[in-house]
Amino acid sequence: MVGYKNYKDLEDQNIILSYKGSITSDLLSSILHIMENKLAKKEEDKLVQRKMFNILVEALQNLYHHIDDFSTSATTDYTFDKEAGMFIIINEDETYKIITGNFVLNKNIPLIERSIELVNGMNQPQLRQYYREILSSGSIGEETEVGLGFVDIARKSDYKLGFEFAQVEPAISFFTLTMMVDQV
Amino acid sequence: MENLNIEGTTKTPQVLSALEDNRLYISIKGRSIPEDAKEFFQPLMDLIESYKPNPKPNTVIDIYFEYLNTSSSKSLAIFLKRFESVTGTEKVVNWYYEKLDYDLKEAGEDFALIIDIPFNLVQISNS
Repeated sequence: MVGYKNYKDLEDQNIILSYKGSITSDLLSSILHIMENKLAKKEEDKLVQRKMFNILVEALQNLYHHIDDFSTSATTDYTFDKEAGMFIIINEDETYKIITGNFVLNKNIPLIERSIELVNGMNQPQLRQYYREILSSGSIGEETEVGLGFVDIARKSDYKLGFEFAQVEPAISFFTLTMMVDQV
Repeated sequence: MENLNIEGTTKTPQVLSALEDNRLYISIKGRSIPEDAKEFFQPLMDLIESYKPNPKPNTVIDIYFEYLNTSSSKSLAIFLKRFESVTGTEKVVNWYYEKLDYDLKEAGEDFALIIDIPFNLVQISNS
């Protein structure tokens, strides 16, 4: 009955899609293609479809870009694939929830926290203004791109971004980001 | 100067350029959601660089996105800044967006503010 139990768990938790493993460019292409089709069938409102697709693109690309270099970090005998990522897409109570997760070095936590708290503290006009400022600054780098990703996600989300860091090793934590969109 | 003729893919737009007697015309059309847009925009950056020393009287860029990710927005801003620095030619950017596409309308407004080039926002009716 293991198979059915797994199926039932996915159904009871209203999971549309869940994944754990390496995040590659090809994977993202496939996932975006699958989700675009699923949303087209499942979701009547074009604006909601678009918001969801937009957040998915940015959230998954953040996962893709934001793999820390763990090669020099002190490891304990607890071995796991630190470069793996996770994402779960849930649809319940007329809300879509996108959850992403990846390992981060503890020393990078303050920067991530600051970026999220900054966008969570802004209203829509402020977010747009901030987005424009980053765009016009003319610099390009991973940091500004990730920053821009968070701003864009915040602009499309109907709620503040949820986040959590769970320590898994002395120098490493698991970072979870939660984004939500209402089905109008 | 070689003309660009890059076919669109599921993640990147179609890019065309045509050097005519009196103008350079560039068209960017489609969906732009690559993980690394910098790489994709490089041929456009190179094109502007080689065009800069000897521009035609007019330079027109048509931009019609179906979808744009933040990585592309960033690269596009840098590309348009580079274009802004070309002198000795009448420059214009036409930004097309579909009537109900508020995101791309806003994106066009943002670029119009950031970039110091005549910038037309052109609404087209939804197909």
